[in-house]
Order: sequence, then C-alpha cells, then structure tokens
Amino acid sequence: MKNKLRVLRAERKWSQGELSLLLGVSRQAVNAIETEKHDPSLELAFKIAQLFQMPIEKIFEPETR
Amino acid sequence: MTAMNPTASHPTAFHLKVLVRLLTIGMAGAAAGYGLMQLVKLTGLAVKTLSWFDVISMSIALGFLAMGLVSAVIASNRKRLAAALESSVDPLLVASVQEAELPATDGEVRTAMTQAAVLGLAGILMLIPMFTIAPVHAHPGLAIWIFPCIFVMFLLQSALNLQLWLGSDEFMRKLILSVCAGSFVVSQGLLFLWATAERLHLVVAATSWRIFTLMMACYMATSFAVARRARR
Repeated sequence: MKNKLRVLRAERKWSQGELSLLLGVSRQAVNAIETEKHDPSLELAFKIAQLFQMPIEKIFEPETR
Repeated sequence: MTAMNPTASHPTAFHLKVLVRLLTIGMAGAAAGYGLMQLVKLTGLAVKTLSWFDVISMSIALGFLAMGLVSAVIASNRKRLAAALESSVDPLLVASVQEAELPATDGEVRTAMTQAAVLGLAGILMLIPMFTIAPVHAHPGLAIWIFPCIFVMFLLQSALNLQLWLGSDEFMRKLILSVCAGSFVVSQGLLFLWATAERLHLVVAATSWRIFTLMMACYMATSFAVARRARR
C-alpha cells in the first residue's frame, strides 16, 4: 500500500530509529512500511495517524486495480 | 529520502571498502576451515565415511555458526547494528542507503545478541552429534552423558527463540511466520515424494537425521528467500 510515511518523517527531521521508538516497533518495520513491503496492522496504522495527527486515509493510499 | 548511489561520489573508496570486506570474509572463512580441520582431527571424525546428507547437515550447521558470528560482530558496534537494521541494500554494509542517525538502543543490541546466540547454538547443536560419532563408537557409555548436554542446550536455544518471538513486533512476527509456513510447505512436499518413493522401494529408508537435515535445508532456503524479499 502506498504511503507518505517517509515524507512525513522527513518533514519532522526524524530518523527511522527515532520513528521506530515513537511507534514502539522495530526499525525494520518502519523501513518495510516506507518501502511498501509491509502494510501495518490497523492498530499500528492508527498509532501512525495519531502520531502525525492526520487521518489514516491521508497517510495510506490503497492501490487501485 | 532518496537512495544514495554509494559508488557515485567516491568510487575508489567504495571499491576499496568492498575489497577489504571480501578479504576479511575470506580470511575468516580460511580460519574457520582450519579450525574445523583441527576439530575433525581431535574427534577422529572419519570424513571419508560421511554421506551426502552428513555433508549437507554439516554445511548447514557451519552456516548457522557463521551467521551467528557475523550477527554478534555487527551487534558489537551500535552504529553498525543501526545501519544493518535500517539498510535495505548493501549486505556488506559498506555504504548504507541511509546513514543511521540513531545508534542501536540497548533493546536492539540485546535482541541482536540473542539472535546471534540462537544461530550459534543451532550450529553447535547440529555439529555435536556429527563430531561425537567416533568417540561414542569407541566408548558407547559416553552417549548417556552427551545426550543430556544436547538436551539442555536445546532447551536453552528454545527459550531464547521464545524470547525473540515474544519481543518481536508485527513485522518481525510476519517474517518468522512466513519462514515457518514456507519451510513447512516445501519440506512436507519433498518428504511426501521421498516417502512415496520409499514405499515403492525406489529409494532407501530415510533416517530421522536425514529427515531433519532436509527440514533444516528447506528452513535455510526459505529464510534466505523471505529475507531477500523483505530487503528489496
């Protein structure tokens, strides 16, 4: 699933490590979400939305077929 | 953040780093090979009598040991560990896509060291039965002492594995489950074919060690495939 996580992180000048600490997940998880290798669970998606204070649909974009 | 081309700005430095890394790996491999030969001499392992499955299981065991050692070396340096965790290219860690700004935390070091221990113990556990063949043959009573030691090490390795699972996040658990599912599907398919051929008297009966070796080979192959997919 396309997402704007890397852009949002860069805007706040956070490293992957810092974002992983804020979300309570591994750096590999943050990297995998940013590179679209992993779609976060609903719980994690809500955490991300809460952290960036944006609706989920503004951060994640389902792929259209 | 876009990926850097590590060769673009300093081509000579980059190629030199790759060469040094490869030479280091080569020297480590040579040292490991020498150590292995010394162990073979010490335990009286009759190399010529080893079957193909013995060679495969020994290779898998040495692979686990090597991975455990490499993991421990990477985990011993917090910046290097952080780069390894964040890097999606460059398995030699010569130039990371993104220079990790935050060194590895205590928790990340602990997890990496636990993973190294799990891999190292897996290698040792697979090697012990191979290298104790000759001593047990000479002194059959030794087996009663060797097996409990293996069992205790197995319990320790299992406990560390469980600790890793409990400390994993959703992404790491997804990777672990992918490897488990993939290796099960492949190994059960191969075992079915062998079992069928055995029933039809086309092949010899498989010993439990051979079945275990086949499972571990499938596990290793699946692990590499899953890790490669996750890194691309």
